[in-house]
Amino acid sequence: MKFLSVLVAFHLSFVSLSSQAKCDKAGPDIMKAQEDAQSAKTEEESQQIVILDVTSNKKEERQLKRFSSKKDSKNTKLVLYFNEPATIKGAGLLSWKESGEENQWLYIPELKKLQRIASGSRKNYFMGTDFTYADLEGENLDKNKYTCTGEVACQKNKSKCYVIEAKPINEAEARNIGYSKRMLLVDKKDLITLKIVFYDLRGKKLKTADYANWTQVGKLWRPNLAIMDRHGVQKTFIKVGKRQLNKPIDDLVFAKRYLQKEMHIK
Amino acid sequence: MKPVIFPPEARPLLSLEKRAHQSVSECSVVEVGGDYMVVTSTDPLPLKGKLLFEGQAYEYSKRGEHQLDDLHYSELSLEPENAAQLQRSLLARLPAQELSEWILSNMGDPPAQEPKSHFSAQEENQLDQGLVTRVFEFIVCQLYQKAWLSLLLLILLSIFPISQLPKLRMDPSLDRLLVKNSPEMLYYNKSLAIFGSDESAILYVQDPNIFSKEKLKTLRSLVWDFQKWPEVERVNSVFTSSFIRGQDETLYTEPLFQNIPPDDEMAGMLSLVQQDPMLHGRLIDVPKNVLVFILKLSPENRGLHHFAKKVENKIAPIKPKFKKFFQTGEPAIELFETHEMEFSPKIFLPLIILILFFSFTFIIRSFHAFIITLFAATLSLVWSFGIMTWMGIPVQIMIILIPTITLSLSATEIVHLATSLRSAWQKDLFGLEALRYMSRDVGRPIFLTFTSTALGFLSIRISDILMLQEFALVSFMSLILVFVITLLYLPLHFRLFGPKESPVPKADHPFPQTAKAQGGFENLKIFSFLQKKFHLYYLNSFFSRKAAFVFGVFIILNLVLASRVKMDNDSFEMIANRTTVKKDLDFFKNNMGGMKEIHLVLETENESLLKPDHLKSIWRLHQRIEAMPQVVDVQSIAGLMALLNKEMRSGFDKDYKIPSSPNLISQYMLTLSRDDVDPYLAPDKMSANIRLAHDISSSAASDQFIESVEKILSQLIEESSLRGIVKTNLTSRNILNLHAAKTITKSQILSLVTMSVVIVFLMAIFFRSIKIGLVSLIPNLVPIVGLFGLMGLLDIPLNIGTCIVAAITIGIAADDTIHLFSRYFKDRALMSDPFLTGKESIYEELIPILSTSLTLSLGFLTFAFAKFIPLLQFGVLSAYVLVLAVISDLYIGPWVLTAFDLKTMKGTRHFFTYLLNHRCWHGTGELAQLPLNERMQVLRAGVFNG
Repeated sequence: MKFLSVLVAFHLSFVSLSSQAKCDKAGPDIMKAQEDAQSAKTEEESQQIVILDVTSNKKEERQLKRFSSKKDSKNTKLVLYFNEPATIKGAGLLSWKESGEENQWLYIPELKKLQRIASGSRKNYFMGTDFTYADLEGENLDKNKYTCTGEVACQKNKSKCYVIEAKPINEAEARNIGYSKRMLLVDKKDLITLKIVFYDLRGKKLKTADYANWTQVGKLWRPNLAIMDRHGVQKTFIKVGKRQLNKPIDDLVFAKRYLQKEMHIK
Repeated sequence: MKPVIFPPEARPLLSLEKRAHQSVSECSVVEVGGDYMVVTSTDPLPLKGKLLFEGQAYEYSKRGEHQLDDLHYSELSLEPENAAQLQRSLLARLPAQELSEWILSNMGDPPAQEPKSHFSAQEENQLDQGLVTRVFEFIVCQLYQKAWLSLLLLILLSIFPISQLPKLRMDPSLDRLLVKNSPEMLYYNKSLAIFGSDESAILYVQDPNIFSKEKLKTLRSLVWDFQKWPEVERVNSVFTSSFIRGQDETLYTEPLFQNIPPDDEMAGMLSLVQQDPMLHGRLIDVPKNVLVFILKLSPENRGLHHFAKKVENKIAPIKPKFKKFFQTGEPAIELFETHEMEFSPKIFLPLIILILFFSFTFIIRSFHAFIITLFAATLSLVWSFGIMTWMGIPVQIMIILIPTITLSLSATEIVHLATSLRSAWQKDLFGLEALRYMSRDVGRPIFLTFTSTALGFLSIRISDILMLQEFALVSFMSLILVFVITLLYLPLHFRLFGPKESPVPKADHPFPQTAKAQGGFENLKIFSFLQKKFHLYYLNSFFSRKAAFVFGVFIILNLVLASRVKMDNDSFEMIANRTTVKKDLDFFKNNMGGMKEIHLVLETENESLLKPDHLKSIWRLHQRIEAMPQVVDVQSIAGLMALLNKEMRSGFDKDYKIPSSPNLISQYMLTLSRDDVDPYLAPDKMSANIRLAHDISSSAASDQFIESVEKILSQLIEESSLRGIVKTNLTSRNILNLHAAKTITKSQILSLVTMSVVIVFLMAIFFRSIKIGLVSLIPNLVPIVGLFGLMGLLDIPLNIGTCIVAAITIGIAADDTIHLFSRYFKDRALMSDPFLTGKESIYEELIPILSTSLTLSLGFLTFAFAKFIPLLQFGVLSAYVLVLAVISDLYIGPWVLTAFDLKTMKGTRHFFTYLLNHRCWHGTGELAQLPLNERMQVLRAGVFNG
């Protein structure tokens, strides 16, 4: 795939951490500004996922469709389902967060069953990829402590980025998400996160997420390519095809029966 | 003066001093010369003794003997002054005519010339002057004269090894028990890379209130801390491992106690978990109030003992809060080994030094020898350990044997040097002359005995097991260096501390003695008494049918018992039962089980194992293995899939099976992450791993178990129940241990054969006869038969400790054989009768052989205090073999020598005739005419000569 070849070029990262200037803003302010600037009320995407095993070089390819609706940080809905390959076509995930309380369901088309799953394990990997459920939620400003550690040149020196350390607010949260901290590289101008380095509970580097091929949809920026590199184990590439932001989405899409009745399968 | 010759009719009679086993009491003088005398007797004279004449006693030693008809002609060596005095006394017995002729012939004789050498003519003949001896003599004498050179060499040669010592490291790793670079090891490493480590530390916690909130929180916090440790790949526990269950129409995968349930929900949770085959019985046992934490270690983690120590320190403050809380598994065993390696030398070394001090001071009576031994052994160890460090060899559990072995073995060799020097002093030879005498007397045998012993250790290098290879190399080095250092230091020592004048015992003994206490132990009354009693018993049993019968039965019985010997390389079995670590191991085994793992790896050819047919094959195999009584737990991708299917569908056992739909399998896989799947399924999905947990300990039992598993595999293949599976392999550290155990037998045989060849070769060179070399092997092999017989009788397996006993002890036992054979052939030159030569040579070598062998045996017996069973067995068995070797040397040695001798003279048939008839306790000739009770009285009185 074409975007696979982007990997090598992309990983010759343009980050220079050698010279860090002081931050002109505090971490929480930067992240709040990012949330305000880049949040969309609704999102619809078609994604192509490639999971590459580093040792054997074997690939798994999937196509999925994703819908999300966000009223506020405590009220969000998400549904995604696979279109390809045929073995998992129709398998999907439905997630509601209502007043802060989470519920998740997994649809198994072969059993024609929408199985409620415990939402406690946000650190679990999503559908065999290297993204956890916590990763897919996006930044949770209430559950992290953000500290801006400096500013560096980025984007091939065309821009400046904030280096932000994100730490879970307590040990319980750290255990919930499976990270002791994350280091974010946030573009100063557009307030987009270009890169995240994840550290496990031992403080050892676990994986790195790079976001590239940014496109602007209205005032919002979105990456068309996300690469999660779980060092030495596996890499997950997510390429976004069609995307719509802030367009109305039928509430039915987020209903349980949408999956149960297999309305999502065409 | 010219010799005095007596005509047959006028030969004076001399009496002989009575000895216990001596039959001849007088002899007739044929000729008396300047320092010799020729006598005749009806029976052969002893090699040494005293002639009595006119109230005077004259010491003699026999130089030669010849039998003519019924008379034995013996040439005796006398001190010149004694010979002159006897001559003068006996002259009066000469008839007048012969006396006149003798006087006339003596007129104008040139004065007697001083002997060119400080040694007597006889000694000159008897002392060896071969190449080895000359080199030995040259080195020793040069260094005596240039003592500064000796000191300089010792210092210079010490610099490099000492410089390496700070880098000395300890490695109790059980990896050293394995065979490196074998196909099994390569496959094992490959499977580790795919399926993760099988090394783990296990924590066992039991308490009546273990499921209380407070205790669970404490343990959860502990486990969470462990998860942060870099050495830990994963922690399997009720706080961290997925607990897949359907509850309230929700599928849960989070760990059981990730969140501590409220009190009202606890009972329900505990009831649920008892139905989980992946957790209950492995990580939790509700009825027993037990929790188990399995800390899976990263494959890169080396130094399990460091990790175990870290765990111990971590759990120490928490332990008192629980009824039972201990760590077990391989890291705990390595930690135990570390303690043993640090602690054992503190027991063994002082003990052996004490034994040597006692032996040298009170038995050998040579404090010089004690000092030389201590110095040479200590410096040799410093050099060896320095060089070993430079070579990258760490101190491991077998290498801690080396200091004690070096001390013991060097002592037994240095004893011979000390004894020879004492002889020199008694002959008024001091300083350089004494060293020259010593070199010629024992130089070559010492060189050979050191060589044979060192080669015995080197022969162990044949083993494929790394631990033994290292042990062989370092012990060989240590023994060779002891010889070198002895050569370098001994001249210096005697230059500084040796006696300069008469052999004053004070100079040779820390405790002042009277003149009567000169010489060795044989002058002590108690030892004289014991020696006489022993000699009497021994000589009555020597060359007897009874002894032959006993040995025959002994050999046959032990050969039969030897066939029962098995091999064992299991690390768990190497720890003494009385130790805490072993008690914990056994407790865990009896209460929870599954401490060890075997991995059964199944491979397909370019097909995914996630296909329903393949998963069903794995499931069938999983279930058949699970049903085996030795198996505690089985985990596989099939088991995971079956559990998911059960929980996704109905939660009932009827759905505890593999789905038939490939789509369903793919959809189930969406719920699992790499962390869940990786231990059981390779990333390419073409190989799967079934993990069998068990507690089988011994290699023999493991071997049987493996055979049973392979049998199941064969059956399933025959039934076509493993379609698509093209290859199956069993691997794990267990399997590697087993493989290493199997190499022990092979290397045991090889090292024994090698040593036998070496002994034959050395003896052949020493005695210049390949036949003698071959004959010398016989008394050395009998103790080895006894060794394996005892092992078979007591179920002592061949392990890293016992497999080295044979090769080492055969090399050591050969030392005594060399001395015995050497003595025999020296005496044989002086006696016409092989049987009597055999008897005489034993008489002379008995105490030296006994004292050195007993000292060595006691030295090895110090290992009886070891908690590491192979060391304990090594020590005890080595002591046993050395005692057997002495007995074999005392009986079988002379038999084979005499048989060999007779064969060349009259044929072997005559040997058996003599053995069974001529010399048997029934007696022959006059003795046979006596009634039985009188015959027995005669024999008991010590008049034993058929």
